Amino acid sequence: MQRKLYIAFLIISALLTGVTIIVSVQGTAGTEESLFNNTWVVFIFVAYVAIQIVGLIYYRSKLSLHTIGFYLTHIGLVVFLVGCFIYYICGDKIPVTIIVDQDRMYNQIQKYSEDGEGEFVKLPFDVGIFEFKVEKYDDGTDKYYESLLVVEPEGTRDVLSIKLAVNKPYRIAGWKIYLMGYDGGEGNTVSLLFKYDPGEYISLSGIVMLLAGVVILCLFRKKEGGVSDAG
Amino acid sequence: MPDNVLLIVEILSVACYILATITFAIKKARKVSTVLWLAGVVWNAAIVVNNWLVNGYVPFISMYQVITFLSLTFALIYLLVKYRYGGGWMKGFFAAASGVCMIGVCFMSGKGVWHFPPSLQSAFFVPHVLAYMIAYSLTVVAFMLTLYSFFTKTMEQDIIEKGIYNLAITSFPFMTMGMMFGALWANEVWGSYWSFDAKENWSLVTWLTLCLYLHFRKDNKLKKYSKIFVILAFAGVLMTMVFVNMMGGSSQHTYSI
Repeated sequence: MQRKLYIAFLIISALLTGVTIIVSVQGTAGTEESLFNNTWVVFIFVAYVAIQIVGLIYYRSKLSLHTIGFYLTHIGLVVFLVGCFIYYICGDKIPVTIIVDQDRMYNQIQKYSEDGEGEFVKLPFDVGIFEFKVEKYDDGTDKYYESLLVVEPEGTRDVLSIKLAVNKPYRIAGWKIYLMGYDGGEGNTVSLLFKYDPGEYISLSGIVMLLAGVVILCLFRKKEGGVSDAG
Repeated sequence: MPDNVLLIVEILSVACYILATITFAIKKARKVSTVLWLAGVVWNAAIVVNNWLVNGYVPFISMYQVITFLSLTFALIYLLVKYRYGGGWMKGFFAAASGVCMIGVCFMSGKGVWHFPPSLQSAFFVPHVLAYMIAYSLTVVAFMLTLYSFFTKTMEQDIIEKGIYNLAITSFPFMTMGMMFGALWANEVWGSYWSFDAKENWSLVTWLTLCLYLHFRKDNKLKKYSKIFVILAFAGVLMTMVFVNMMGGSSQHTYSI
């Protein structure tokens, strides 16, 4: 069984490599999007998770730190990918451009589908961008920029003012708000990203388990390959 | 450091690394080899420090700086391998790897103005790059040992194979950390763990290949094929580090060569 799983793992890795090579050779954003957002590629990842689960079921070993490392690594990978699937099915990501204006608050944002159709998505808060500032290097490239994000959660009269910067998204009511860019000039409009990811904490738990697992596997090995070499 | 002085230091470093590799093969010259290797490390470190001072930050700005740092990483990783696995016999391979990298550095331009764009201003930046440097250094030496194993006598095979395994299994956690720190960082800056750009895809292929080596080595029948994956993992490292940059495209990871 173990050998069959290894061969299946090899086939899946070969398929992923094949897709990667196609993208690298053709190299266009369109190809990348069509291949990686393809149902078949999602199927490859599902098959990868299935192999991990079968491997976990069939794994037999005495309890040791090595065994714990094995379980953490493989379960961590599955948990991470499950978190990603939850986002794939239930999550949402909506890029918007907002005018910097102290008089404008929004409680819904427009989302465009691939065929250009728009729909409004209601947010559980009111949001607006009141200020924007940018620092530049001598040659005019961006050094740092931030926006003053004002948020009013639904059903409250609290008004929260947050400094929103690149790499520092803000979390509210299950949503994360990212500062993605600005108009490039004086900052009359800014680009935001609204992300709803119900699987985020599951994915994060998976990453922590995976990292802990590989470190344990490296430090506490089975004797087979772990003996010291001749110095 | 002025350009001509920098070039002299680079050449000195290359010369020391290469001579250390050659003298290491001569049993009576092992001490000379160690002195030459240390000299190479000192010159190499001088360039890294210079790059750091020029930037005012960790020297990961360009391919020139990354490869110079990678070359030094081999030396630091050698110490880990020596004391953890008793892999002192691998010194020649580590010195050779550093030397090859520094030869490449001699042909690159060290000029560059450090711009630290907002997306790079993250606590994940240094651990992400550093973890990959360590992982790639170990994978490169594992590849060199694999090649060596094809041309050496049978008695040494077992020691070499264990050496390859030790390097690969030490590389794997670092490669996983590099990938996961990158994913966490991407989720903070772009709102997704993975964007499927060329560099990310090839780093995933490299990770999967090394993973296959570690799995195949556990099976008595498949074990004989396992070394193929070390060679493929090295090809993956080359694709990820060098060729993706050369191909250009819309990668979020491109930096100047």
